[in-house]
Amino acid sequence: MIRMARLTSLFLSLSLLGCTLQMEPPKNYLQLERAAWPYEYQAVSTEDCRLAARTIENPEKGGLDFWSKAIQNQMVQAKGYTLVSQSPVETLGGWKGREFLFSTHSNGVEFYYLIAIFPIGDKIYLTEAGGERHLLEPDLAGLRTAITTLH
Amino acid sequence: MLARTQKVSWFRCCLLGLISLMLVSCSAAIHADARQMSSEASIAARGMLAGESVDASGLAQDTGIEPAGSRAKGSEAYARGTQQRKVVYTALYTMRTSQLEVALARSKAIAESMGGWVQQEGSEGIVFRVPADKFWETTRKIQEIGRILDHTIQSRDVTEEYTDLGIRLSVRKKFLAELQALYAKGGSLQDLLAVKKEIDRVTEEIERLEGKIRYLRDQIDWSTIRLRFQVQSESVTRDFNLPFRWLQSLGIQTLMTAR
Repeated sequence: MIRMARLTSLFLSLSLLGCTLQMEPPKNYLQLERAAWPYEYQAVSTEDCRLAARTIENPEKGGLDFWSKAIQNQMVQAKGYTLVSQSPVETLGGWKGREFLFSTHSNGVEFYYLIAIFPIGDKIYLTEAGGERHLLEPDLAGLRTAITTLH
Repeated sequence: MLARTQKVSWFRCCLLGLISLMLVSCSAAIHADARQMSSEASIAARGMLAGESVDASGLAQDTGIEPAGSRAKGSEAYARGTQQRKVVYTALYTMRTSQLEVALARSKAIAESMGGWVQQEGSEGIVFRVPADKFWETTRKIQEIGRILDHTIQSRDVTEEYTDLGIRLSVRKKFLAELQALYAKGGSLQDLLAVKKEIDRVTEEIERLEGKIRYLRDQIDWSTIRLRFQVQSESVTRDFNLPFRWLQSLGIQTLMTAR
């Protein structure tokens, strides 16, 4: 209850300020004071896993189905990632989106890449999290919770 | 008998004189070439030797052959240039195309739009001719056909060669007329045969010179453009490339390196 009250007050204060995307990071993540382009929000874990969020202009107002398929094709067909799982996701503020977990290998190391997309009007809000699989996997639950706090 | 002998001697003298005149003319031409005299000086010198004044513009009257450049009408600059110089323009382009049929069709369309015609066409390329005054415009249009890998443009000044051929033709024609006049006067069978033989030889020489002039005039009036095509087949694998740049930035690489 206290947590909900905190989040609500946070949402209100940020919406009043017209700020960039924000999330409440998992406990073992630290939000960076300044996010590097193209992100508006960045956090890093002690194990060097990353969490980030950004806003994409969507003047064509493409819907969730279109962008979900486009991201899936981009990651699988163009970048060679493997789709591990996908599922619907909804933020505490009521944004409806979809979450994808991809796997890829680099220099013999397997990485996990978790992306959630929320097309809202003429904007797309994205959250991305990634890191070496064995380091990110324990964080997945916490990251999924963090994503629901996106606002 | 004596009168007949005198007639024969006179006939032989005339024949010898004509042959000598021709030899002197040829020798002067060779001598002039060897010394690389200027075109104008060469013309004047040989004109005097031939006993007349001949210039390039008078070739049409003397030889009965239309002067080069008269068929191709173009820009003022070109006209000024061709009045003084006879130039043969040729161009060779090596181009890359993904569709040979399309490249050939576009080449033909350009040739026709310039008032030209296709001389040769095959699986490796095309050769077409365009009026000389359209040469440079055509080379600009060619760049629309495909990617140019290599090209060579050559302009060969043939003024002296063209003028020399005309003068030689004029001299031979006059010589032929004199031989024919001599033949018409009659004489012994032996003399007539000798004159006839000379007439045949000179006629053949005239035809050869006329052929050379016609060929040269064709080269001057109609520029030759050769296009060689290298066919590069289109890539069979297609990159997945949606027109949204941000999609390309997705992935571990951007996420892990953004600082």
